[in-house]
Amino acid sequence: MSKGWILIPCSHAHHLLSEQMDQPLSRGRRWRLWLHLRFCDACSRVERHLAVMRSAMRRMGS
Amino acid sequence: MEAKALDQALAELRPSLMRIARLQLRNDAWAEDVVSETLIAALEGQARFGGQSQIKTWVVGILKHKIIDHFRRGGREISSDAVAEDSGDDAVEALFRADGHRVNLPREWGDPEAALSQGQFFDVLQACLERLPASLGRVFMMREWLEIDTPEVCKELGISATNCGVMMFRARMRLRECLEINWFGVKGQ
Repeated sequence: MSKGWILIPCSHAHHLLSEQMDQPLSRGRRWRLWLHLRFCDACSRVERHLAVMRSAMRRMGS
Repeated sequence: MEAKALDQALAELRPSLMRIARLQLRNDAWAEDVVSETLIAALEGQARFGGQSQIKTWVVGILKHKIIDHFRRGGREISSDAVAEDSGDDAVEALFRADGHRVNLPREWGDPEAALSQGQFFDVLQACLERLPASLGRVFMMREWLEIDTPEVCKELGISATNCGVMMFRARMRLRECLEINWFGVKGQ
């Protein structure tokens, strides 16, 4: 099996980061994302940013 | 609160309610309608406003309900750009190289709580939301501002789950870039 199955590029990880804001990820996806985030600063930052955006949106107007 | 004071407070809130309603509905006439309904409901329901929260928080809560009612009534024809979401989004694709790596490293955003405590931040946030294409702005606001579950958002708007996921992704990526450039890039460091 090619390593591409486990190691996903940032573009894919970004999709999963967005998806997990909407629904729980399947186990396989969660694991691949977790592994990617362990080694990737860029995607780890984006994960935090999406959380900040969610808090900001919930506070907007109030 | 005195009736007259409430009148005045509501009049002062009207522009910011209009701005948010326009962001969500992307239609001026509908925004006018829901804001009018909101102000009337606030006047009629003022006995229920115990002053325990900020008046703005209370009124925005009413606005959210009125907008959800609006969607439920079927005022949800989707503009033509939503249909074209099958095509690519250059602004988002430009973030990645052909091999899937990011072109640039996102910044650290510093202390987000500090940003969220500033009114100016919300001006920038709203300006960034305005810049989203209408269809993306609408689904994103339904999800993140009205806090409707994603499957329900897709259903309300008659969009497939896959398409809906793509739209959420694009909205989030565009908004993140916009906030980074216009707020965190300037103030967060």
